[in-house]
Amino acid sequence: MMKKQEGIKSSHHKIPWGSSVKELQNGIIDYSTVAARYADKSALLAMKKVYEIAAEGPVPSTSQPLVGCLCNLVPEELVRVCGGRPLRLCTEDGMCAKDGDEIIPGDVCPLIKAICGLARKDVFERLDLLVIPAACEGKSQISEILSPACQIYLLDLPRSNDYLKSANAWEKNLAEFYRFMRNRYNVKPSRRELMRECRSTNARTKVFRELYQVRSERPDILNSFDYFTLSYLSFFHPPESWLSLALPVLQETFRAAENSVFPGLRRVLLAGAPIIFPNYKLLEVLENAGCLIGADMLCSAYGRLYDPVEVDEDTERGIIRALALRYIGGSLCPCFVNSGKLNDAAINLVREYGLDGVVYHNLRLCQPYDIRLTMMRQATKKENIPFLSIKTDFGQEDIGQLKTRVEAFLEVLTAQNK
Amino acid sequence: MNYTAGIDIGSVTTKCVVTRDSEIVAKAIARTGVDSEKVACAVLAETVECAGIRESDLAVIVSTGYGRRIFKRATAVITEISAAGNAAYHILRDGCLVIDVGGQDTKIIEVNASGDISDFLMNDKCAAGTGRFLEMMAGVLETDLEGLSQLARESSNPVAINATCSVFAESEVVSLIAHAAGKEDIAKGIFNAIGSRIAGMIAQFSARNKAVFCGGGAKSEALKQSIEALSGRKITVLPEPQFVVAFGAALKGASIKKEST
Repeated sequence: MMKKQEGIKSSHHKIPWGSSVKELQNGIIDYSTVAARYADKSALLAMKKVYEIAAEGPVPSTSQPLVGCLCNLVPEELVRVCGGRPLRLCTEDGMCAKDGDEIIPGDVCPLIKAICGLARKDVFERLDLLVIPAACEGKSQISEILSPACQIYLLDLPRSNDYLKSANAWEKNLAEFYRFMRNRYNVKPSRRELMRECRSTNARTKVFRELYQVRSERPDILNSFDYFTLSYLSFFHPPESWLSLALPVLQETFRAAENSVFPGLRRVLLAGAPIIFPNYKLLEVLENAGCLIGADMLCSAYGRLYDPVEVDEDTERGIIRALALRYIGGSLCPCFVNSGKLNDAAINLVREYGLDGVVYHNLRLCQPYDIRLTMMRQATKKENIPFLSIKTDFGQEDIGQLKTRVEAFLEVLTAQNK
Repeated sequence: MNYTAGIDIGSVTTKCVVTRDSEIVAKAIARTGVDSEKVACAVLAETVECAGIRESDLAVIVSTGYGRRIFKRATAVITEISAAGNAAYHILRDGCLVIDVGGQDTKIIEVNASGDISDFLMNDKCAAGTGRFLEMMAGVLETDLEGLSQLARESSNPVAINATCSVFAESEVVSLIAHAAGKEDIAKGIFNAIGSRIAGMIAQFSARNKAVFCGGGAKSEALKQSIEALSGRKITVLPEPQFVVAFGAALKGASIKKEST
């Protein structure tokens, strides 16, 4: 469903409650310090460049029209082929969440607050368009709040028990979105150009899968900070420039893996709510305790980059169908996947990579993941897979408690493996 | 002589136990306060003296609890979850479900038939459902935990406390007092509020295992009754409930010693 609103970009139409950026400069997270800290932890020289780019922040300087997207449900191929530069604006910047708290002060998921907080950095004013998929309630609700700052396209993604019925609706709504994009940018991309965008996504998929595979065995070399930062860069960089960063990392990882031995630490699957730069608190607690993340199923990494676009029929309709199935049908977001499939995905990843257990990131106030938690806990328990859920947010005050939970979980894993 | 010490540095109190051949021979407790390491040293010294030995007689010192890492004299460190599971298994010699209500955390720990921890749950970052919550509420009623338990025993018509946040529960209790609800009924309402949270956690585990209760919260008979009523499970309070975790750490020390000799 398209929500037509006046495209307002001039500065006097800013979100009324946003104070000026200057006022907040002291409070804004210094990405370069954070990035430098993780660069120091990395075992890989090629990661240096990746962290340098992460430090630059989410909005690149380009002449292309910037098209903000939320979640991982908007097929960026449709944006790219129309000449737009897709930017996935999901953020877990704690300072942004604090700023967002003034815009939506309720008991609202901190990720939603952080997205709103980007208004304070004038991010929305620089966008040509913001595409918000109707995923969770929070994402759907903020479209109206952000509409004074930039034009919003609310991508309706209905759900029904009948998968086929849902898939038809998604295909129809994506086709409508594509029409809107072509008209907005006054372009008529050919079917071949659209196919080329899918292929470029798939080239990225191929490299990501190799990284995912090598990490599952050697999470000590390509540590979780490196891994999530690499994935984070795909939020703002098209597949080609992402590949130019990822390929050297992949080569170096392979070399390092050949020349060293895995220290035999515990490897777990990270499930639940996304982890996004710079919110690496949980990663740090896990890695410092010797509990390495061997695989993940988060929408900020695996869910974003693992699946290719599989086009059966290379007509325009067939491509759009394939995109609908890839991005929405294949999504592991609790808004779109049933618990049976979600739990099976977790169990299969644990089995496939021989992992020791599951750590479930339960982002405080994120209802969909909180609701699904019990079902995944029970499903993994039935399979005798150790399971730890961690409810937390972007604050630092609970690190002590988190350490206790993680250390106790490691003691459980050790007891089970003796 | 096979002396080992277990020291449990909790958020509210620090407990220490000295064991000989896996039996408690001495114990001591103090408020953790601000300088937890100093307090830990003092509590250890007191326990050792009480046992009639010297610190050098201890083969192993195992620290646990929230402050486990700050205690430099510890020869080994384990989490309070393993420690509680260890002690409960040592006492029961069977699989069990341990309910540990401490100052800052409430934990449910599942111990399997071979004595290993198979699963655990802890409250999230919030004081609701912890010993701290009970202490705060006792303060509002101008009594202590024991007084609160005694009051609850006299209750005939417990009030419902709806707030799950400690701060709001406090205002709710204050307004109940203002509306002339009996102190006894408020006290019972407080235990039911925390009891229902704990019962909700217990419900996540199989009902097969015997449920046992430890931690400072287990000293309260009223809390035990509320949890029993709300979870429908029979609960056994472990002996010296507040020292169970320290005891578990000391037992761990004994097994470390066995491995090294």
